[in-house]
Amino acid sequence: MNIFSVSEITKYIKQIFEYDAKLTAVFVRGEISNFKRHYSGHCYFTLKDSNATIKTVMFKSRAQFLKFDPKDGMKVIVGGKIAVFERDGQYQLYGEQLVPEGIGELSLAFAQLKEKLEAEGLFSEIHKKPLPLLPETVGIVTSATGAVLRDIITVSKRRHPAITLQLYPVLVQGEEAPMQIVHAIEVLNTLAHVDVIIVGRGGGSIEDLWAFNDERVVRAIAASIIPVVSAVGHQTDYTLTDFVADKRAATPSQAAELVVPDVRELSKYIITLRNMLENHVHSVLKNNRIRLGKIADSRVLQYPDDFLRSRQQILDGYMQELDQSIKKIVKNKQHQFEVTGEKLAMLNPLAVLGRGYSIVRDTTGKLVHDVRSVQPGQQLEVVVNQGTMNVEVITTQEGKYGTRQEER
Amino acid sequence: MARAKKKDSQDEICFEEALEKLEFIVKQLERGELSLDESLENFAEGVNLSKKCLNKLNNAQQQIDKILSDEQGKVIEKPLVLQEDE
Repeated sequence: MNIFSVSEITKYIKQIFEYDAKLTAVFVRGEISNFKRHYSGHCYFTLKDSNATIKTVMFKSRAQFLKFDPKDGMKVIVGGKIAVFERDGQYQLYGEQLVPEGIGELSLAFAQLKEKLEAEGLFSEIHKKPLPLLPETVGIVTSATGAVLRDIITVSKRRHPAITLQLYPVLVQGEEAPMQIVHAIEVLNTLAHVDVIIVGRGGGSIEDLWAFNDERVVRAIAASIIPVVSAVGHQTDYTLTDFVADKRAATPSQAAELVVPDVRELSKYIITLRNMLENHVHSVLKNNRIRLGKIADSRVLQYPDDFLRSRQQILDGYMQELDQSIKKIVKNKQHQFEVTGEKLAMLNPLAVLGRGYSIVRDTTGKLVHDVRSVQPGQQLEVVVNQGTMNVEVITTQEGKYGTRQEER
Repeated sequence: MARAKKKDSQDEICFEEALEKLEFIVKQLERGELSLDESLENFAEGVNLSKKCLNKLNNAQQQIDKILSDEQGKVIEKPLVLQEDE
């Protein structure tokens, strides 16, 4: 036989509760007693009827969303789970939702459906379609009679006289209403040519507005390819249609304002844009003109001759310099030539004859350089200044530069 | 859906696109970074777009509002006359 500790057996019981499908999602109808709201924000109370009681706790995370103050004696429905509180060895109801009985049942259905569709992402911002800026045709799903249609027509025509409205009339309350609304949205999506749809009805009780909390209606709006604007009830009424619509209007008039642009405003805006465009392009032109003006005013373009003249002057200067340089070079060369000529003249051997030197050649014309190359009796030619002499060698003596030496 | 159809048949930009483009052009010109040629080109396009936008706003033909109903997948249209309720 197994022996458990208190903790172990309590844990076991707790698990049995946790695996029970009924206990984990349950709605309990009863009367509130011993209601206490702890300073932490958690609420503790007992739910009872004539024969039984159940301890109930609602944590702050949920209790803070309560739209009313629960009080002892109040008949309510609590939605939540039943689980074991191990420390006290007690089971208790952990409330997630708390609504007063009576209208509470619709509210509860609303809350439940809202939670479910929210979890599916039907209300997510990412599904919201932008409204067309300038629709040509607006589809309206509402009652053919009533202030809603009148308000929408009045406001729409005031803002945009040429807008086309197409009404798909439906019942907006009662058994038939949801399917008619669904059908109307489908027809507008498939067979008609509207750019945006307004779905709405006037104010009423929660029961009157109930068709707009119908899951089929909500899903039809979610599935609509054409953007949908909701205008259900008054400002303070929220239906699931409002949550799923691409845009929620507080009133039918506001729906028309959201959907239909004020053409005069829009025209004004476009004209403003065009004026801006003109101003900008004018300033661009002006700036360019100023730039061009500055260039045109520059000296070069104003007095082109000046520009040429100064260039001419510089050119003239260069030409003169060039002329002088070349003259100088020529003169230098000439001088150099003269000097060289003089040098050359000085080196002319014949010029030496003038200074008393003579040239001695033999009969073959060969120059006599050395006394040893001639013999006495040899015929020689002596060239002196102004002529030649034919002579005969008498004797020869060797000696440097004609100095007399001992005879041989 | 209705808009896509319109676009196909007219091969023309819709009002939103025209307005968006116009706003973009105004912004670009405002920045003043364009060359003169580009500025003039943009200006011409902007004026053209603003004309288109204004035309769409002002020259839309008033059509008769309708009440729709459908029978076997066909839409039946009747002129929309406001019925005052009591």
